[in-house]
Amino acid sequence: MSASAAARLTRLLALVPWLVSHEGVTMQECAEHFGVTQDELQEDLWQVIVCGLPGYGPGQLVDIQFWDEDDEVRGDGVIRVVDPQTLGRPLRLTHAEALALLVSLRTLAQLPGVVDRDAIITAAAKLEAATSGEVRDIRVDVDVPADVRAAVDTALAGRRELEITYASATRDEVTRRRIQPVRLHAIDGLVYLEAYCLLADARRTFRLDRVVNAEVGRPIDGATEPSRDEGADRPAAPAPATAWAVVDLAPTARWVMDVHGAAAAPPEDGAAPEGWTRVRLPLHSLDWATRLVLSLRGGAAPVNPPELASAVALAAAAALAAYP
Amino acid sequence: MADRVERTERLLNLVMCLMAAAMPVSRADIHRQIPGYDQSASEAAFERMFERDKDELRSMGIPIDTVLDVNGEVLGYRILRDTYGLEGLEFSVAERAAIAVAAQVWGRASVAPVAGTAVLKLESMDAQPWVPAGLRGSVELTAADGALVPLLSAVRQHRVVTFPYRTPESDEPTIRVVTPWGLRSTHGTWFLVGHDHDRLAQRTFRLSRVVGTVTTIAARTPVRPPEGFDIGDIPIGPAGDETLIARLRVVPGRGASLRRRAVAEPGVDPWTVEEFSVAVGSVDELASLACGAGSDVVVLGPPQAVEAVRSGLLAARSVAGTSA
Repeated sequence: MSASAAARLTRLLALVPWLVSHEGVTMQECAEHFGVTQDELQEDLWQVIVCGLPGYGPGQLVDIQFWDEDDEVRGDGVIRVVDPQTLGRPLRLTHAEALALLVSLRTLAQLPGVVDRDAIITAAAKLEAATSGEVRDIRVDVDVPADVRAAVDTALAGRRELEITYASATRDEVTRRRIQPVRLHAIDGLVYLEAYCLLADARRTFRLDRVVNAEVGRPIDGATEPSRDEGADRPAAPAPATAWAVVDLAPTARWVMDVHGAAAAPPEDGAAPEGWTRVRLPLHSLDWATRLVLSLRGGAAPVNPPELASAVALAAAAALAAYP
Repeated sequence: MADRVERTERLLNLVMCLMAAAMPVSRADIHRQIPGYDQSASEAAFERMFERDKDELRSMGIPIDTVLDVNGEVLGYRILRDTYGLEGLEFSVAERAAIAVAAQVWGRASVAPVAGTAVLKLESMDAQPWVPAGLRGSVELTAADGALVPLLSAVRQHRVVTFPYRTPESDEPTIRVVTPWGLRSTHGTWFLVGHDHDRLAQRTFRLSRVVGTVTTIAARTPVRPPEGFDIGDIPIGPAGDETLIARLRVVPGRGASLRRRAVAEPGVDPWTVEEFSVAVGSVDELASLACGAGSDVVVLGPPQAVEAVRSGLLAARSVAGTSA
């Protein structure tokens, strides 16, 4: 059975109980709910009503009325289930379906910025009890210290400023900042806080696992409040790098490909020496790439841009001055 | 449509027949009664068709029981209504809102359609609305890897799987055979923990390195996880043994990655102080961090750490020099 055929059967098995529990819905409402066109819905309904129990006489078929005497869809478009046969209840959740919801509920429960954490926890507990049993084999770690989560929660809910100590990984620096939180964006357990930063006097995105310390500050007054609309739909995650550096990696440094999203370089970048791998590395900034190459201690040879090689050579020489 | 009965129709009729029957339905009755099977050319053709249908309905979560007689012969098949249906679940308004958000969290990930059908089923239980709410921001679980959906099911059912796996150390993927024990997303990356049937030991796999399809091997006997297995207890990533204490001098406001590893000293704020000690796993780890920080960091001791940093910087300078 193709994936689409399986999806259709799943839909048909959900369609009948949904119609039973939503008496008086129209073709249009039903099609919208299931994300199909009204023509597709009609096909689904025609399919269901020719099915039933052995014998397949009038009293043994699924009976759903959605047409009138002229074989046309009813004028008011209302669908009425006369007899669902055995299909009146929804099918139980599969393991994968229950887990898909449980994993995301478990993740939500750990995030700051949720209004009703208790409801998330009890919803997950009910689903666990009714479907899969206690889930101890799947989890999403959210890297936010409890005190930072509490401070961000308070600031977002009460519209207050935060005073944070922020340890930037891309710049390897530590700064104290006053920020006005706007919204959160979480991706796979990494939580980003979009905020108006009074130090930078601009909107900035902070990764919460790099917030060393957070204290709730004063209420955000109307005058300095950042516009709610500005970038409201823009994901707060860092934009993917548009530039890249070409680097040769020794076998010991090939893990860089996984961790920093480097990919094997195309042939036009030339070939690496025997035993090395030539890769394209997303270039977040020259400074960042310089520090990465230095940290690999000879395991990475910069190829392009030429500034990277000279920056590495200069930075290494400057650092060596401390070790005469 | 003349006399060919569509697959969807055959499957729907099979489900209803097995649910409605008071007694298990024999293969012969299924063959004779269900439209679609009665047209199969031979007994063998029917057997093949029925086996495939049965497997696929089971994979959709439909609990088809095989009922045996006292001699262990197959008497017939049935679907118990109690185990078919999604029963006994009641959610508050806030819980329904949380579950609706949880389903959206998957965004465009491969898991999203699975979460979607879960919600379709839940929505069919009653007429209450499911309106996503209760989050100040947005959440996304990308699970960019197609491997997650098959592994979710395999983990729960302890089925042996096989997949091609690429390590950074080699160009060609190797075929791995694994009983999956657990899945975990940590620092934004998904990992699989399980028993590797060729290496005869517990192994951790990064999902982004699974480079092909995950296939279930029904014939292999799964290896059970250790008693009380909890994915939350498995160390993932670099081992946490901090055995080396090193003394550093760091430019104020710089060296965030090293400050993060500072050893607590009374009255000293590691985020602002110039001289402090760090605890790291090895000389190698310290050298990587200190070289990456360039001239912002000077390692003061112990001597083997100083030497490792010095030689690391020399190697970086030499490689950058030759390629520049």
